Amino acid sequence: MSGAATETDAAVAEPAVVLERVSHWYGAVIGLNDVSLRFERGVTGLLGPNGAGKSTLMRLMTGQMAPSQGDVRVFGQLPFANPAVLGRLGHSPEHEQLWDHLDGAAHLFALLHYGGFPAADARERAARSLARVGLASAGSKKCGAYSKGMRQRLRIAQAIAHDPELIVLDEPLNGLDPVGRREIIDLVRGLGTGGHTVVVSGHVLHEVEKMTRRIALVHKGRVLAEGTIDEIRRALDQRPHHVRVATDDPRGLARLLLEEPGVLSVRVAAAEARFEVTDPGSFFDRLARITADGHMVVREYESTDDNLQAIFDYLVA
Amino acid sequence: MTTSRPSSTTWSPELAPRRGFFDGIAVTIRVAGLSLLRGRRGVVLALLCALPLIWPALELFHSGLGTKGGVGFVQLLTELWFPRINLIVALFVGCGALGEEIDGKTVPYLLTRPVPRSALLIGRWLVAAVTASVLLGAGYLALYVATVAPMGGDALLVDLPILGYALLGMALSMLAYCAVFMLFAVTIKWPLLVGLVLLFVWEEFAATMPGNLARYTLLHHVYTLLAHGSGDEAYHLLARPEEIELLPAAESLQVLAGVTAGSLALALAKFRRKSYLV
Repeated sequence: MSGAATETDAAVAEPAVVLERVSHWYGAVIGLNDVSLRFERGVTGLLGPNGAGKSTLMRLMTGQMAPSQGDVRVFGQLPFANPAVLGRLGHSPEHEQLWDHLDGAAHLFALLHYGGFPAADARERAARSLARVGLASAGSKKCGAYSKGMRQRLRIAQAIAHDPELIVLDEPLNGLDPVGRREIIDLVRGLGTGGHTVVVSGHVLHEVEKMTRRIALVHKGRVLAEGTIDEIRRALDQRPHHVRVATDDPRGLARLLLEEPGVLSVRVAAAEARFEVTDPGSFFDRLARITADGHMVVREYESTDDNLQAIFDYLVA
Repeated sequence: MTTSRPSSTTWSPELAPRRGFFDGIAVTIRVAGLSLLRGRRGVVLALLCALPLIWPALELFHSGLGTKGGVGFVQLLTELWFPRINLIVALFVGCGALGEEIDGKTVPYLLTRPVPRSALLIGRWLVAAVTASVLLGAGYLALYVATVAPMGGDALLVDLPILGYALLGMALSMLAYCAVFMLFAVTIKWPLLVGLVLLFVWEEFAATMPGNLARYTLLHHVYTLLAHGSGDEAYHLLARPEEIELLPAAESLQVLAGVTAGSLALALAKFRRKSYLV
């Protein structure tokens, strides 16, 4: 028993998805170019502008396409048209299409039953999944009459209804209103903390940032960077960080901090100072000491480029 | 990122749901059901099947009861149903069985489920063939009643074998045609157009050419089987254009079976490795 448990643990600990030097062409157009990536448990954001290759990557890992070159493994197996893998993953496509002649509950039931669940179980899971995405009261409504947001919720519902280990959500916030976005962001975070491997794509950077700190940046078919936002930012330390500090005496603060070794420049405004620094860790330590010593009152400070937009801008530029 | 450890039962690969080949075919049939006849296509095809009833209705109106019988039924079958209506129904249902999922961009929902692609294709083919057969069969039955019933109640029973053979021939042809059109749907971009060319250009052309060219059409083999089965002169005339020798029934059956199996095998080979971009 213990041996079996150990094996299971080992299997669970391995990344759900491993891509090794994967390239994919659409005729003469390259969709992915020599991509190597690993997706582990928790939420990973796949970021990039439209046409970057995110959907291609998702189609490859959900077994809809085979790569032109390289190796895609999901749970250690080739996913393309492989039922042994497909039963363990859920995919919400980017496009809006549903079976419009069916109602929401029947849509989910059909997919669950088709995917291997007995009718009674499929019905129960369909109802539970509809409730999870906030469509409990719309289950009997025809999909053709669904709004954009409802269609998005239903696509997510069919991806999670069978409680798969790997959940791949292509632009899951598209078409949702602010409340819907908040709910789906919470749902995705919950799936991640619940032990699922969730891969979520997007191009609205601050929204992806709310779902996860772990990202892969894709641009023109290549992975520009991967890791946590902090890791990526640290890897870019050759570029200066920008720090904004709000204080009543920006000139005095600038004088104190310009003596620090990692501070390259400072711009002073009415109630704030903006610093360019090469070592943000030391800079923040020094700032904390100045505040603690009572030399200066600092109302707030922030690293203005420690967010996805800034990182993305750096890398794409 | 640290996450809570899920329960082992949820994550055991052995417990992940999946369907085997035969199970996959069965569930494909259950889920797809009669969905091929929904919406406008269903209405149009049903109207198409009801259209020939106008002819016996007019006949009845002009001549009164007891003037026409089984001959009228077979005439309509050979002039309207087999060379026209059957083919149109087979074309739209056969191409739509998988094609509507591809065109409608819903195919990723099916391809990301743990069902073998081969089961999906075979299941959809069976659904198409049965759907077309049920729709056409209902039309045949209505036509049979409309053309034979005016001769009296006994005629309905006496001519029943004619109806039976017609239904059998139609069902066999639907298996073959639907397989061909499924092959078109998974391999080419304009399956309906190519299907129309096959049905109304090639089959028409080959049937009217001298010599044995007609034997390279599916319809010829359907007529051959009906000629052997029902023995009706109308089928004989169609199965022996230019007075060519009537093929043995077994040979025509083999041709239909071969076309069906060959089309399905090619469709499977393509469908198994094809990526659908939506």
